Amino acid sequence: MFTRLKFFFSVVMALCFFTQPSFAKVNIFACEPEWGALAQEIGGDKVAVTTATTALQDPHQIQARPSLIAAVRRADLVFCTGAELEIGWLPMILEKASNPAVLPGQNGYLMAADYAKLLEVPTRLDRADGDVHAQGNPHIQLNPHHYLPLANALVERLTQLDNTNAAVYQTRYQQFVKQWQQNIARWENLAKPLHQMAIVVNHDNWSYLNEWLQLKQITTLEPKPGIPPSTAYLERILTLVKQQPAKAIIYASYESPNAAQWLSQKTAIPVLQLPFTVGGNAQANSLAGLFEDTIQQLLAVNHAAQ
Amino acid sequence: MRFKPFIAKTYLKPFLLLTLLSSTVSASAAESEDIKQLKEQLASLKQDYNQRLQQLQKHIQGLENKQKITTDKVQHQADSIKKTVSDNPIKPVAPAASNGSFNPQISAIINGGFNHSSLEANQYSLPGFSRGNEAGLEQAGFGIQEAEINLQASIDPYLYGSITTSLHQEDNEIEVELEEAFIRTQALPAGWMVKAGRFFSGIGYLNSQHSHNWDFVDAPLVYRAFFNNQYNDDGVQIRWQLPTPFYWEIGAEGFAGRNFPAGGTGTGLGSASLFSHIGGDIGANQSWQLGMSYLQTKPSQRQALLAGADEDDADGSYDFSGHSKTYGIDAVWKWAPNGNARDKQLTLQGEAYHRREEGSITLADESSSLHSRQNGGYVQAVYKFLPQWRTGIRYDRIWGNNQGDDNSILAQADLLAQGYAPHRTSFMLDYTPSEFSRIRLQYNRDHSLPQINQQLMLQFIVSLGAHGAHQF
Repeated sequence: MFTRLKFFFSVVMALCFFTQPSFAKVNIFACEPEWGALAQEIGGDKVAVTTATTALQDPHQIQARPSLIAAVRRADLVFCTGAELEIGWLPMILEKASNPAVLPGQNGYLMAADYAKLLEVPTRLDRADGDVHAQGNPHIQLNPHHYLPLANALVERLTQLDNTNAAVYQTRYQQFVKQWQQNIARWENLAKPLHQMAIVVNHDNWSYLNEWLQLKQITTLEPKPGIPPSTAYLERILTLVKQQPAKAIIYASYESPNAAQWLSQKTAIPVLQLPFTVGGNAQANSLAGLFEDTIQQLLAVNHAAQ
Repeated sequence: MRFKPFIAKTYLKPFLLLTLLSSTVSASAAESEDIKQLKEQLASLKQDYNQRLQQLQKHIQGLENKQKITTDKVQHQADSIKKTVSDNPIKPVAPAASNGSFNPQISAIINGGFNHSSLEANQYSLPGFSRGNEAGLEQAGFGIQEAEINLQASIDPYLYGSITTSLHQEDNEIEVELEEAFIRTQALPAGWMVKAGRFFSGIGYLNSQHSHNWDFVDAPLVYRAFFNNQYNDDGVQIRWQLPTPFYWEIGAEGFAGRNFPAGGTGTGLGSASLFSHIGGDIGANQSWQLGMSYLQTKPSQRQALLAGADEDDADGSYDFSGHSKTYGIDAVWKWAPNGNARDKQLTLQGEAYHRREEGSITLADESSSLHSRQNGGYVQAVYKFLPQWRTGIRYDRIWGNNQGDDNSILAQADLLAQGYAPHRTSFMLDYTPSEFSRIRLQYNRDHSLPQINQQLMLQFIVSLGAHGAHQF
């Protein structure tokens, strides 16, 4: 019995040592691909990033999978959107992972929404309004301006967690800011024709893009956040869109195209599947690619409509 | 005496810090007013309390430093943002609007519906198996299965607490049951967690989940027969999450051992368990979890229902005393296209258990030895075919062999099944309008007894209040 126990423990200990090859790197658990990409931009080869979701997955509805628990168990930093986007799964993962360094309030817990001004903060909290987020709309990743204060916060955290590489993070951060500001200026110039472009969206997850590019959102296809449309509701949308014509019907890469395509067939308004996050399509393979492709796709449709 | 300043420091400082942060610059005048007042108070206390004075002075110093640091920090952050974006100021530390600020998260579950069963509930039994007080059919007709209230919150930086009470109808009476009331650690390093109080044991897969999160209305037959639907007890759990690249948890529990399959006064260690789960992903589409469990109990006068009896029936039970060992394995596999469970998902799940019991039973002052070998398990498949619709099928089977020195007593206790193996097939269809509600229709072809029992159940489960997070 005793030798068996000894054997068991030596196997366990061996596994512990064996499984930490990335000892020197800062382990970052990013809930969504955009934060994974940002962490990689700032951290470079000093960080090892695990991204919990892909662009093809609905970030509201992720399962608290064993693999994610294992990743948070080993993480030095949990980098997520916050504002209740991950409320259905992240708390369960944090509970199961038993890693006190990444709990709320610790240096290892960074929520992007804490560094942005949230839109659509509900004036009343009632589930009769669907799956409302009490702190506001959490889909903040489509306004490039949000990345600057966030990158700043990230550098601060990385410096706290891994002070030996502080200079590396600072340099990479400076580079990122410089490039990003140039990008923003270029995108804003490029997107001027998109001002007041009328769009219909599937779910209310484009608000920050609308705010940035001054797109005019006519309506959403979901009657209430998180609730798929009925045919009767879609008929009403059809009437509305006939009165207020839109130039594109937009949905995210993880969403079902059915409702959007139905409306498109009835109205001949083109359907656009925008990447929504990094990895949403082949062009959106980086943060810059995400915005580049989003703008190019919108421009193409907008141009064709004129 | 040393305890008091500790409290003052740990609770007052964060509180004051919060106040400082939320009021940033405009409130600084008021704050220096506060400090002035504190200093005045200090002066008056000076003569009498030399010791306390020193503490307060230290405290004030700390506050002043903190204030300076936070103002500096806020100023610094504000500056750095101004440089980059003028229209996106850093959010002030806003009071959390949701889930209460310092109040615990509260959620209530109502689980009710309609049951039809072709067999009367009081004719039900599981030939060859001891049944605990819950191991029967739900009452027929309209009814509330349970109304459950859960409160949970961090207690302090080290502990988290959760209480779940459940109300349900039991023969014209409302019964209040403390389902869970436990504290658990949240600051232990290296993946350790300790839980103490009353809780559902971590054995198996379904056992630790609340029944309203199950995919079928009722527990699998093996849970009904082996765990009185679900095993909870008062005790301690230790869990270790290993730092492996895949998921691996190991846990051990010790319980008082009052509840089936344990039983007795619960003054010592009446029940203990070991369990381990591993899991991971296969590509982007699939994920899995495998588990092993062991539960050992020392029942002393464990009551079991006689056929046709319910728990209020004084003569409707017999006792078992002896040893009980249960071995189990559980497996779950989930598939979703691109790992996106929003529109489609297939879940396959199964558990199997083997139980050995040695001891004696007593029925109406007569005793017999009991030597029991029992097995059971279920397999189920649940398919989400549309965002709000799921359908599922489950097959259950339990079988075993009991021996003793007095067969007439075993026969009276319904422990001689003569080769009969209770089994059941269930079909379900459920509709989930939102994340907070679900309506389920279930049909059972139940062969717990040789005579078929057809059950039809319509169930609704709703959740009020805090948004729960779900287990894998």
